[in-house]
Amino acid sequence: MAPRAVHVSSAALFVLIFGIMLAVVYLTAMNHNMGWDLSRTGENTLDQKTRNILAAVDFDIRVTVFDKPGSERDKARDLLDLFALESPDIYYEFIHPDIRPGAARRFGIDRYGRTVIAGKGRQVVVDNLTEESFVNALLTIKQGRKRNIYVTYGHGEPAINDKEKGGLSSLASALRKDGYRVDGVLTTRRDVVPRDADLLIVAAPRERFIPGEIQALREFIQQGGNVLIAIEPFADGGLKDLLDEVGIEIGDDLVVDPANHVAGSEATIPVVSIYGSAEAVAGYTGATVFPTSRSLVVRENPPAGVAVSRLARSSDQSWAEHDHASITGHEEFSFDPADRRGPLDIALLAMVQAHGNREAGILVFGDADFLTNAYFNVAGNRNFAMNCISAVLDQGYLISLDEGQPRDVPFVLTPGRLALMFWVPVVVVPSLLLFFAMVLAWKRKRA
Amino acid sequence: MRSIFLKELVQYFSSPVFFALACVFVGVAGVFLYNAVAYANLLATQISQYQASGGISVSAVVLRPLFTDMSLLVILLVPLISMRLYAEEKASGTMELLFTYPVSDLKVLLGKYLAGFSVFVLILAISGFNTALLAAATTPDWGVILASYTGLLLMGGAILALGVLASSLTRNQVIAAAATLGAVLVFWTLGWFADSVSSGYLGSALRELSLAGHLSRFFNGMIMLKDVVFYLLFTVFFLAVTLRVLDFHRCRG
Repeated sequence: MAPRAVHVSSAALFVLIFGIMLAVVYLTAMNHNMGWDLSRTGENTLDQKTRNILAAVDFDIRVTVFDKPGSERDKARDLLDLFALESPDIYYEFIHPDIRPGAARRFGIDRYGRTVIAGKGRQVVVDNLTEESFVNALLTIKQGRKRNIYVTYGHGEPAINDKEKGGLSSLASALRKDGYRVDGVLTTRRDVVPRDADLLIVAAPRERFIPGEIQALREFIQQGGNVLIAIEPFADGGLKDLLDEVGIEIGDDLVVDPANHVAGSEATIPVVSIYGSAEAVAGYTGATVFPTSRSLVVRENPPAGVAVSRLARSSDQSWAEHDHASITGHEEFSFDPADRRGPLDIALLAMVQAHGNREAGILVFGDADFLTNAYFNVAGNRNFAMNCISAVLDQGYLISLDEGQPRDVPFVLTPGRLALMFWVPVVVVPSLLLFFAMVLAWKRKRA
Repeated sequence: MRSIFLKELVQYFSSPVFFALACVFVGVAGVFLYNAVAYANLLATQISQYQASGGISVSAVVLRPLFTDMSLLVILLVPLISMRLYAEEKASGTMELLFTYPVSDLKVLLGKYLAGFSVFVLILAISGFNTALLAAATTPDWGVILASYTGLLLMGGAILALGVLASSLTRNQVIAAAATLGAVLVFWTLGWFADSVSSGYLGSALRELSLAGHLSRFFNGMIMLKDVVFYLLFTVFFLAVTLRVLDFHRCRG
């Protein structure tokens, strides 16, 4: 063989072998991939709930994105890479629906950007791949069905589709985002709680539940059904006796906390940062706001088969105000010997032994305002409420300790500064560089 | 290696080409910055009519579009930096002289590569001064800026290695720059062809080989090991191939 041909073939062999070696190194890096999020707002850091869910997934997840190349598909890829950092069980591919129409038809894909998420023999199609839609799909695959949450109405309760300040639309929306199916239920008409209910929410009833409804609630609990009861001061909806049966007394009072309340407001909007050791709140450090709350008391001798644990308490400088003149605003709040001194329980969880070795979780809050649109997204209210609900539904991986960070910052440019942003980068700096270039060119010409 | 490095640097800075390149790059990057800032200002004004804060995500509205545009400038800039590294030696007949230096081809190559890379870093640093002006308008996310510049540096270094190879293959600087640009555009758009070629391993491999596919995460403020490794391996590969080409030239005499 001619020396030139030997050289060319040895060079080609070198390129091939060296290329393969580097490919192996790259594949190793891919399989042991790591990421460092340098952004201040943690834009590339998954929510703790997402991380919990990915850690709890014990099956392969196959994601197929049907999209054409472009920025939207790049976004989906970047997001899937973040998921893959958390879980080695995620496999994904991209299919151009115009190039492989057969595959698109098989999954019923009729538009760009739809994504098929599959696992455990089940599959979910989402229109737009986001962290939220991915989590919802994973939960649906993991559980096999969506959990049902019913919210009672017909007793003056705020409605789940009411978007005004007093409504519960924010709560309903947050629950749906976590993969729950949320609906209203009129128990007065049917006297029963729906059979497929995983949680029944009774929030701020102004009218009393009729005895038949109370009995239906009692039977629901006895069958292992979970209930969330949030009652406002001086309006217990006739649920006092039912709560007594699960070891919780409700006070006819108003919690006053002159030391820990929302700045600029009355002392009747306590800010709570004392939490119990129950799973829902263990390690939680956020502040929760309970506007006009009543106190709860754990019975000294709870009934057999009932265990009550504390979720949230007011500070030791608070008290339970009984004086009607103060409560109605005719007099200033002041601690009287008849008032109970804090810390006072505002949120409790009763676990009740039910039929068939099951256990019912009863969440009781001495306030319902914190669930309404006006306060749901204030401070840590959202996380606190969602964590409590996740805990009774035995979905610990949905508990989040993240408080979330604001991502937007003010952007204010005066006309002078805007002009500066033009003149310095576009005119001054390039002109200086051009000047140096011209000087050098002139010097070289002279030389 | 140090003497080669310094010699190359002196050659870059003694000709008006460096300043002309820096002038164009920094000027056009400045126009991109101004456009992004003016748009963000308009957006913030509109938002402030509905919200008291007038807050926007500076990273999404200003930084990401800015660095995406700057990456296209890097693609155009780096071939102009790398084109002369070997082609000039060949055209002026000093290539043979280079082979007689009492240093290895590897050291000559590294000296030339590092000189070209230093020039690129310097031009990016000048544009970084413009980006720092953002602090006059808002609180930019310095983490995103740092990650974005890291991405641009890594990609620029990879393109430079490709450019050095192209420069070693021809005596014509224009051809070297054009060949580098063409090859970079092929590597840039590999991910787009992947769908047409295959959806299996070949498609995935083409997507992973795409220069563009590894950049967007840096602009989000995310540094991923596989992206850093990709650009470094890309650089190492083309420098190694250049070394073989130089060896071929030396043997051919």
